[in-house]
Parts: sequence; structure tokens; C-alpha cells
Amino acid sequence: MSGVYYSNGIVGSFVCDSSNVQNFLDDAYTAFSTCGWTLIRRIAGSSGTSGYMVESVATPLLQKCRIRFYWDGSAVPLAGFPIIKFAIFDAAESLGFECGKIWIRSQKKNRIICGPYQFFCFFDSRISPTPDVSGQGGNDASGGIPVTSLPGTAIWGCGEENSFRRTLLPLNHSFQFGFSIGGNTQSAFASNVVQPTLLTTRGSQLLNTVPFGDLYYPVSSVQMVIGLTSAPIVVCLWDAIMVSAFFNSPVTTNADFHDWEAYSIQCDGSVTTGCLFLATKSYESSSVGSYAH
Amino acid sequence: MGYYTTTSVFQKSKTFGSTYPYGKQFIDFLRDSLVGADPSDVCDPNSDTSGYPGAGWMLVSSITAQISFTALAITEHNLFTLNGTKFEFVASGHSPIHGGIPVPLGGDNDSSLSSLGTTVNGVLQWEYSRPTTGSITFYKSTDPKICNGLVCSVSPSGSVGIWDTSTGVAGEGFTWRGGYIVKSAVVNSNPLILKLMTHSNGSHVMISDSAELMIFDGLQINNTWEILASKYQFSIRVPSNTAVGMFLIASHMKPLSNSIYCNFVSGPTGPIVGTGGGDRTSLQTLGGFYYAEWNGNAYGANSGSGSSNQVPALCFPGMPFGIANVDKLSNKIGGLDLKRDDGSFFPYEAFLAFCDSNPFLGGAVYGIRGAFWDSLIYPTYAAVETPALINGNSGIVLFGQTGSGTSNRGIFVTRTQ
Repeated sequence: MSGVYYSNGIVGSFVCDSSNVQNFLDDAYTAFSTCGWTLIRRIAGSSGTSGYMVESVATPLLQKCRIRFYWDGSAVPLAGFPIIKFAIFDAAESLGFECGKIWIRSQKKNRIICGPYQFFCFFDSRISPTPDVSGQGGNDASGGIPVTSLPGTAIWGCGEENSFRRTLLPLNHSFQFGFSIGGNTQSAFASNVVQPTLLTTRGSQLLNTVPFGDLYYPVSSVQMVIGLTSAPIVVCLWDAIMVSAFFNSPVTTNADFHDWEAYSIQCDGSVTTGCLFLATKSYESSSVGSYAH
Repeated sequence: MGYYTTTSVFQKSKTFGSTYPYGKQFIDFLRDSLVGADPSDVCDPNSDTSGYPGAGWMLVSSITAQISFTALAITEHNLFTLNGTKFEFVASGHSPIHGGIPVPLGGDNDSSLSSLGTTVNGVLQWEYSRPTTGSITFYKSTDPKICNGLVCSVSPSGSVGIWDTSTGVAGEGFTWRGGYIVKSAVVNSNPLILKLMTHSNGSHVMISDSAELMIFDGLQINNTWEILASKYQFSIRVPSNTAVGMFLIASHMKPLSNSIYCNFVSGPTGPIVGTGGGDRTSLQTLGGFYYAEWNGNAYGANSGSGSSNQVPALCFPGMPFGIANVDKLSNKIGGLDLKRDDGSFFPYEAFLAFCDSNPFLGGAVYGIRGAFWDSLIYPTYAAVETPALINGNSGIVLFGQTGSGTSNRGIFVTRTQ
């Protein structure tokens, strides 16, 4: 199997106060800025709140992306929870799409696992036990620049219940996904669109996942297939590994001078054949661990 | 990426017919390719005098050939000719009239056959056994490499008895089941040991593990065959022919994780076309008929043994969703090439999963045990024999499948140099 694609930048896990709009926005910005993203501008939001447009670190192929997150005043019908919207753009902001929503509600916290090229915002019941809203929408936003072989614009995003925390193959037409690569930008489900699909090691007849003889499962770089059915493209994720077994609990481990955390624990175990693990800490002098507001 | 032997891959082709001498020639071709051609081999009727070194396997021993005869009615002056030496039954006080070496005619078939065995052993040093009162099997010679295909005949044909083989001429049979025991080079322990033998059916041969737990006797030798061999592994195939009976692969595999050693053979069984196995129509062909040996367990099985999740399979990245076919309805990538943005492919190791014991017996644990040498899997499709580069060396597509909603798209590429 191919090796892990390390950004060699700062990766970390950050807690965000999702009980207050501005607190959440500020905590999210702290996560991004700690990992090297730069502030492009503030985004004026509803009720005097101020969101952010941040730009990633440049990849070795000089690719950048921008993430915007702010509150435009929208709220969950009837419940009234403010909805923070995430969107990802190319560096020129000439194209982009939404990549997730976070609902603000009392006593709630979210986490962000972030690196220089990508981010994953999600709900973790261990730090936000009241209320347990893990099954609810408004918990997930993710996206970034994938590992490509060629320079040029390359961005991806998976939001809400289409995030890789909930599924390795976004299928829910009610929620968000998007990508732009090779001049092809898509953010709507269609029969000819291959939404971001993470590969897992399986037998050639696509039956159950298969461990090694010692019952440990194959670990590989994270290969993501996106594009059109006429010519899908395989790219990789940074600072991530794919373990070809399903986990439904927050497994953590240490390997290859990194801390890892199972991310895809809310997938449907009856159909999911792997688990995305994200690096939460690198044992380099410039790394940082958790940050709490 | 991948696991490679450090020496060149041995490659050679040869054409064979379907009559009985070709079985011996096919076995000799395998032996020569794996161990090295010996121009002094007196048993090779088509001996290769070039004396090439082979792929690096070792010759353990030869296997003596045999021939069996079942008597119908033995009477005086009936003749048995074994490899040109004529034996003639004569009653007490009588002399041979056909010039054969006299053999006492007994009062019945049983005593006559016993006399024949004793006489043949004394003259030719062929040992014999009497599996039943009406039959005799000759199976040993002082020549440790007794030749296959030695013609034996009986006269008159038809009434005296029946050989267990036939040259196609009435009353004639030929010695068979002789051959060689060869073994691969070893990684940790327990190299792959194979028997290469001729078959009683002159159109076929038998390749088996040393204990004959699984006999692959379905190779259709009446074709042009090519062997690709290294010191741990070989495949034989009829180029461009993916039908049943045209392919066999044997490997002392690269052991993975807790595998001390890992041996695997997949090929055809049944000397009649269509019995099964030994085809190259998909990646699943490896799980047709197979022999598996791992950490002290060895067994032969087929794709019907155990559950579908226990059939030997190549394992590589694919669709992350769906275990039952109904769940895979959303699979859009099953039949598509999966290329990087620069048009290249991710190469994958040729991992093979199989059970640690015979899945037919229950309690078997399925897992990735080893990897094929000098081979990779690419997530694309190309016809067999398509040239490919593998680790900077020339290679070919050995087998593959186009993929679908319920199967991965991929090709198994192996080195040819």
C-alpha cells in the first residue's frame, strides 16, 4: 500500500463552544489560525456577529483554498437554532460551494481536527454530553485540498450527514458535498457524478472487509475517488489513514510519530467497510495538541 | 510497492500435442524450467540439450512411473511386452513359441500374474504389487528415473486383459504417474513442494502438493504453453486463452503478518474440459480449485467450500460501502478505471486472503495470508497478455476483471523479465 501523505505542518484537535455564535466562530478561527491558515477578511454576519474568510497554507504544488464561516441569520425552523454555514472556495474565490452547517444550541460543543490543508468539524459526545445531538443535522463540516499529482485548483467538501464521520460514500441527497478538480466542479448529486468516495481494502468480489492473519486490518493512505463517471479521479487526503475495518467508538492510537483518532465512527456498520483515521498530533517541534476555549 | 525477487523471471514457451508422449514432455518442460534442463536426462524423449539453469527451484526426487493390468483370461503363449522385453506364459514342460522369456502359467489368473510379477522383477527389476487377485501393478525400477510413457502390450489384444492406460493401439498401454518432486526456494520455512506427474490420460498431467491433498489434473496440455517462473513462484498458461484448463499458478508466497509460511496453488481439476478451474476470466479464478498451506495447516478445496466470504480472493482498495449486493446499488465506480489526476494508477500489492484451515470443516478463519511475488494489481482493466511495466521491468496482464456494481475492477500484472 502507498504511504501516508503527511503535510508536515501543524495538525491539532480543537474544541469549539457551539452554545454561542460568536464564541464558535472565534474558536473555529483559532483552530484554523493555529494550523497556519491566514485571515483574508472578516465576514459581517447577522445580529452583529462577525465571521471569517481564511486561506490555507500553500501545498507543495502551491495550491490554496479558502474557507468561509459565518452566521447569515438563518436558523433551524421551529427550533430556532442559529446555523453557521461553512463554504469552501478556490484561492481566487471564483468557484466554491457549501461544505457543512453547524447548529448553535445550549450547552453544545463541537470539535475541529485541523491541519494546514483541510479541516473536519464534528460533534463529539464525550465533550458535549448535554445534549447528545450526535444523530442530528447541523454537526458536520469538512473540506480542504486533496493530495494531487498535478498543480491547479483542487478542493473538496462534505457537509452535514454526508461527512466522512457519517459515511465513506456520501449518498444523502438532502445534504452537501462538492469538489473541483481538473476544471470540473460539481456540488449536486447526479447519475454521472462520483461524489467523494473513500476506498477500503476488500476482496475483489466486494464482500466483507478482510483482516490480516493476525486479525489486524490493512492500513493505507486515504484514496478518494471524485469526478464524473466518464473519468473519475483518485486523489488522497493529507494526514489521514484508512483502516479497512469498521469502528463505532472513538478509537485512538499512536503510530509513525503521530496520534490518530477514528473519525468515521457514526457510519452505518452494517454497510461500511472501513474507518477514516485523522492525525490529531504530530510529534514535531511545531505541532500542537488540543486547544479548549 | 510490491514484493520482488531479486533475480530475473524465467520465461519459456513450448507446444505439446495430446497423445501420451506429450504428458511426459510437459512434465519435463516444467521440471526443466523450474530446476534447470539436464541434457543427460535419459528419460526425456525430447531432451533439451541446451542445459539452461531454470528458475531456481530444486529437484527433490523422481517419482517412479507405474502401469496396472487387469486380467480377463490368461492362457498359454499369451505375450506381455514391457518396454520392449517380451514375456510369454508357458505351461509346465512346454517352451515359448513366440520367443518370449518364459513365465509359468498358473492354474488361474491370480497365480499366473504372481509368476509374471516374479519373472519381470528378476529380469527387469520392476517391482510389483497385487492390489486385487485379478490385477497387477508394476511400479519400480532399479533406474531411479523410470521413464513415463514406456509402451507395454499384450497379445492377443482384447481377451487377455486391460491396461489402465492406452496408447490408442489395441492391447497397448504406457507407464504413467512418474515424474518429479520439486521444491521452491524458501523464505522462512516450508517451501512449496510439488509433484509433477503424468496422467493415465495421455492428454493430461497431474500437478499436486507433496501429500496429494489436491491434484490439479485438468490442464489441457494440447496447446502452446508459456511458463513464468521465479525461485518462489510460477505460472503456466496458454497465452491469450482464458478458458478453463489453461492456467495454473503456484506460489511460496511472501508471508504477511503472522504467517510463518504461506503456500498456494490454484489450477484446474478434472481431465475433462469444463470440470472447472484454471481459467483467467476474472480475479476470482484463484478461488476455483486451490491448495492452501499455512502455518502447519494444509488443505485442498474449491469455491463451494464454506461461505462466499471464505473463498480465496485478492484484496485491494475498492468501494467502501455495501456488503450485501442490494447495498451496492450506489456503486458508480465498479466498472471504471480509477486513475490519478495525472493519468497514472495507484499500484496495489497482490494480497491474497484464504482460510487458515479447510472452510468446509467449519471454524476456519479467513484473512490475508500472503502476497504474490513480482506482481501488482492495478485498478483498471486490460485484456490478458497486455504488456505492462512493473517495478521498472516488463510484465503482462495475467488475469483481470472489468468490474461491476458488485465487484472490483482490476488487473493482476506480473513480471516477465
